[in-house]
Amino acid sequence: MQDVTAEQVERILAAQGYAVPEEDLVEITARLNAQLEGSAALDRTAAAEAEPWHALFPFGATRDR
Amino acid sequence: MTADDLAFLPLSEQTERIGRGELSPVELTEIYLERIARHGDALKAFITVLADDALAAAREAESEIRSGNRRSPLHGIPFAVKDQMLIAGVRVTGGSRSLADHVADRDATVVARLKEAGAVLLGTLNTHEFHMGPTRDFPFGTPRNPWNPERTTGGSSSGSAAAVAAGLCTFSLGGDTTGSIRGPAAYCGVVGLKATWSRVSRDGVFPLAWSLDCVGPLTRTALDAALVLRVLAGHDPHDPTSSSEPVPNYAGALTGDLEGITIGVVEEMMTPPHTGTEARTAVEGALEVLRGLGAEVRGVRLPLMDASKYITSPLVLPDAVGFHRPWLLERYDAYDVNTRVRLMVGAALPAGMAAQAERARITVTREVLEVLEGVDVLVGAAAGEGAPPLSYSRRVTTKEEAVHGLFGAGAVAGHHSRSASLAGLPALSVPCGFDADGLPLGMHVAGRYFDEANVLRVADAYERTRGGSNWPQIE
Repeated sequence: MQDVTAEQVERILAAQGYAVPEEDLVEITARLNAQLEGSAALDRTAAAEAEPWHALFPFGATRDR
Repeated sequence: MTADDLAFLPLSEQTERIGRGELSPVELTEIYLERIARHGDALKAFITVLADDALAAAREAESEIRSGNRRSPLHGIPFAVKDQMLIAGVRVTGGSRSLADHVADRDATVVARLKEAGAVLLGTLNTHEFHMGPTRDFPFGTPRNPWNPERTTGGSSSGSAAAVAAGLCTFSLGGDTTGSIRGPAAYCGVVGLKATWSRVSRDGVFPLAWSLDCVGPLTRTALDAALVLRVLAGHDPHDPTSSSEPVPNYAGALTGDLEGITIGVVEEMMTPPHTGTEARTAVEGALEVLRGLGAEVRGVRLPLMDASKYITSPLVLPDAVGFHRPWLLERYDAYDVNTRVRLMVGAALPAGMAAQAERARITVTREVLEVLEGVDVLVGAAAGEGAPPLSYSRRVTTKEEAVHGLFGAGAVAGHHSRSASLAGLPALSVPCGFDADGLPLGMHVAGRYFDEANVLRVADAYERTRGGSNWPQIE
């Protein structure tokens, strides 16, 4: 997968009103790309096949005790 | 018995002595305040000490108890709370410079319930900033492990674990999103309980991720945790997510025998790279004890457990940045570097990834629940080793560094606790031995929804065979 650049990250954050210093931007970009790489691992959990119920029992009929 | 001996007594023994008139709440409070003055600076466990208020509350408790009005087993018992929970008229910072002057105008429900039960509040406890961890630069000092000040307490409920282990309070409250009570409890050698998600109100508690956050007790014994949970648990109209499930007498379930209990030993919590030989050996020793008390012990597998490390950040960080956004826009620089860069990752993560993580969470939860259909509790190491040396994190500048830190072979922090958090299950860490360096090791016990009683029962039964407790000698 292609990494996002620091410039792209800066724009995404700026669009939300965040102005971050250069040193932070480098680290945010590195960490964000790592997380995006981790999304491939989420695929291996068969997440797409999960039923769309909330994991937490008070919010549906899935309460299982 | 010396003052220091009294400081390390479990809550259950202190309350018996108070009931018999052999121990005064004022005396006990003075003992802890003296110990806080003596050791507090070295350990950095406390942020704010409420000495005058605590003594006033202790005098009131003593007077009420003497006049026959004993509110609960916690009446006159000194405690402290993670600096995450609102206390009326008191500075509550979340461990952050950004809230260094924030004074709360009301009590969190958990604080109010403990005060109502007559417990004596000593102050607020150090924490990783806004419960995220790891904090790079602690504004109130780096918390240190009472067993060895060059070792970490773990986080984020750092002061909550250290204060109980060091005999600076009888019990404490911590917050646990993906292991922030159980990890520090394991490293500091105390019991740390996260109840079923929704069992304890989060009203007035700074959030990290609403669908994972829990508040719970850190104590010297499982029985003590049962006594505190009884006061904390129950529906709170101020927290619509809190459960209306009836609150049982947890202490009454602690019989010492485990006949009829089936324990599933989770292979993924007992093997490398996540668990070292010493932690595994300690838990295996405890399992032998549990078997001898009548429990059936069998091995189980949770193959998706390791995947939880990919799930938590996409769940937690976008949720956290939603809460912090107004403050981040106003005072970004007042946040610790590690906190603010991770919050910004949450702001930049694609929404689709958060949704994907939520679905992955369901698959992990389903796997755990299916295994729990065949056993009563799941057991494994609570951490892979004794508390590591204090380390001061540095800037991450490349994706490779970040991948290594988040997902690499050394990324074991949180492995043992995350699955129970993702599933919303009750879970605790109970001390089960020491490593070669004399550092505590913990056993993790998780159970079915609202079955805190069996989780506590297993831990308590083990503790009864362990004999006298061993507490750190603090320089």
